[in-house]
Order: sequence, then C-alpha cells, then structure tokens
Amino acid sequence: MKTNIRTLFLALAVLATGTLASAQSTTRVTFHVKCGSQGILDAPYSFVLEYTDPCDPLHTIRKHIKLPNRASSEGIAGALAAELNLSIDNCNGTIPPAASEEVDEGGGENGQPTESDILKKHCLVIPKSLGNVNISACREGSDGPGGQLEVTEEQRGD
Amino acid sequence: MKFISTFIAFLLLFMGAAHAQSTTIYVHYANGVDKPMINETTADAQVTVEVTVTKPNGLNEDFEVKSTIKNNKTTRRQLAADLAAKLKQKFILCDIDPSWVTHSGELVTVRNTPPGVGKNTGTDDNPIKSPPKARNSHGHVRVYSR
Repeated sequence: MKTNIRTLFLALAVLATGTLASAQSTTRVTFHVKCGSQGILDAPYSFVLEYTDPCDPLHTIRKHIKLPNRASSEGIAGALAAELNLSIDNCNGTIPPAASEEVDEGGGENGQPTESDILKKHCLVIPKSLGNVNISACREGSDGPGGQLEVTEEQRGD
Repeated sequence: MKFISTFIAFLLLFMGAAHAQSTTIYVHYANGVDKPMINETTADAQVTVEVTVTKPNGLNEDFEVKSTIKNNKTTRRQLAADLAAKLKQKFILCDIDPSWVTHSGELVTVRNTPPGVGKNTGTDDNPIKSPPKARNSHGHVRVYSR
C-alpha cells in the first residue's frame, strides 16, 4: 500500500511552467500551488522565478528560491509573492502587489471547500501589469514518498 | 543536552538570506501548518529570532524577538504569526514600515533594506538584474528550552 502511494505521489510530481502575457493591471494571473495529502511537501524544492523587471520592462529578473521539505502550499505561494513584491516595491509605479490567497473552490459540504482542501491548495495571485512571469519548480533530494507539488496557471479578470 | 537536541530535531527555523533584500524565517516541522508541534520531553521551548535591518537613513538596526512554543499546542502557523506580529511592533517603534514584514502560513519574510536599496542595475553594456549577495548575515535563530 505504501509503495502504491509513493508511486502515485511520484506521478503527481510536476514541473510546471507558465508564461503570461502583459495586459491591464485590472486583471490578474493565478498560479495554483497544490501540495500532497497533508498540504506540505515531502522533499525540498528549488523554484526559479523569472519576471519582467517592473523598473525596466526591457530586462528580466531571475531569482532562485529554495524551500525545505514540509513547506506548505500557503508558504510557497507566500514566499513567491514576497519575492515578487520586493521588486515591485523598488519602483514607484502603479503595479499592485502580488499576493497569496486561499483556494476558492467548492467541493466540500454545502459547496464550501473543506479545511483539508484549503490546506492542500493555495494561490499566488500576480497582477498582469507586472508583465511576463515564469515559475518553474524542481524537486531536490528525497525525504519521503515523492515530491508532491503541482503548479497550474489560470488567467482571469477580477 | 539530550533534551535540547531532541527538540531541535523536531523544530527547525530555517532562515535564508540569499541576498541582501530579505530574510526568510521558516518554521519547519514534520506535520501540517495547523497541527500542534510536539516535544517528546513534554516541555515548552522558547525561540529567539534576530534580524538586522537597514533603515531608510542607512543605519543598521538589530531586532530580536522571542516566542514560546507551547508543547502540543502551538502550531507552525501560530509561531510564524507571533514572530511576525512582534517584529511589526518593533518596526513601528523604530519608524520602519511594518509592511516590510509579511506572513504566510509557516513563513515570515522580512525586508532587510529600504525599497530601491540593494538593487543593482549594472551598466548599459553589462546589466545585472539580480540583487547583490549579502555581505554579512542578516539574522539567525536560537532555539532553547525553558
């Protein structure tokens, strides 16, 4: 049984990349960060965050962020948002800050997300006016049954 | 001695200062973010976090905050939230924008330099878009029993 779960989690380990187009600041891009059954990673991950420099649209900023095992989807989204906001704050522009948000999906009783669902999945909300944003994740090492990470991208207006 | 080492095995605060702009305080524990942390010795413990921040006037300021981990009660989220709240309070007292401290789940991020400081744009011929490496540590963590 344990082997089956391990295989399943390994299959779920996803390296996801999203490239987004620049548009109005009133819209946003959401990266859904989903961790395994407990909502935490079972291995350390290395993230690469590439985005257009808010101070200079002709250049791209590339940052490496390492998070240890047991990181939660909420923590991952928060870490990525904080990194983006460091650059956004450096410019006195009109770009709103990036943020992390709880998942807003039904599925539990009365159509409300269960506490477990909220823990498992968190969103990184990025203002589209920031320009191109590219997130990639790479599992590093092993400390448990597979790196349970899935990052998906969604674009929508507020 | 066994008591302290056992506890540290269960709880580790991961602090990263990969570059000069921010320090990450990460509450590391085996279980989920909202599960209580358990020390097999059944004792509480105290955590001390020290962070150095460069104020808008260019002077460095050292901040130290303490928090207690109540055995089998305090969660990773609660510890991170408590550390963030205490850091914000100290920042306000020193006329530093409390928004330099952000909290998300088990993670606290502290901005170490004012906006625009530490940003390295390089030259026109050879632009550098990554912030410079930190020249010294901007913080560390101590964990000890009570």
